[in-house]
Amino acid sequence: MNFAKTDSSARKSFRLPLIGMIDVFFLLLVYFIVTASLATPEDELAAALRQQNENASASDLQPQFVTVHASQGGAAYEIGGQVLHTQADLTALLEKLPKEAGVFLTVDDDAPVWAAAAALQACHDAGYEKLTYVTPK
Amino acid sequence: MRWSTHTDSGFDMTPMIDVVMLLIIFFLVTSQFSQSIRTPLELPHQQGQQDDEPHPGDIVVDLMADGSIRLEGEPLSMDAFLAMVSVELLHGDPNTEVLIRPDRAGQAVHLNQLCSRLSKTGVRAYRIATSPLRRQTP
Repeated sequence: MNFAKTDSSARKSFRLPLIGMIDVFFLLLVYFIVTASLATPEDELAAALRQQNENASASDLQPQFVTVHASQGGAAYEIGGQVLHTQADLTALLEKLPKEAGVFLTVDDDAPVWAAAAALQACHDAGYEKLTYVTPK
Repeated sequence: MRWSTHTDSGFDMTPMIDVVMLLIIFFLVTSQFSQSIRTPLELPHQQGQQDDEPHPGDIVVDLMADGSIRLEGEPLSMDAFLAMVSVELLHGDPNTEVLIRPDRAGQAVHLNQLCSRLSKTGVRAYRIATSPLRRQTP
């Protein structure tokens, strides 16, 4: 009997602290659930700001000019006299043009905001580093 | 018998691990909240630049579809906002940029007005927040 008691207490001392471990894993689980639902992914598109009445500098010799117009509930993108109706078309055209002088983007007041963002994205996707958002006077 | 004695007199690590984990989780969650306190907005659906560069000093402003602006969820007049920006440019970092979070359903007239007035205030660059959830289809 005595021998059996000693054996039992020795086995008890080897047990893992399961309650603490469950606590920790539960907290980790809660953390991952909370962060997964709270952290809505966001990204950004950068552009320099410029007003239409500002004088052009020597570095602004041949920039590309993109204008975003409202068009039948959507938007159209005008560049060099060509009117494009999709962001993919704008990106494809911009990729073919020289990029050293950058691109100037003008958005009509009645155009939707998402179209302005789409034009910015197209410029970035086409590889333009000098991107200027030209605001009206 | 030896093990049993060791367990009784030894330092109990379990509550300490609990506390340490709680502290770690607290700091991780609060760092996530700094981004999640941004007002839920339907941002333009674009991938963005994906440069992953943090811009901690930037002023974040929400541009609602009706043209009103909000700072940290609180409505603010355009003049008050521009005054705050000019103070930041004068007394803080002169290279401060503005992160505009526009409602994608709004018209560009509000974005143009805001950018125009920011430009007059002295802001030379801005960034527009996008939601890279899915591609925009016109």
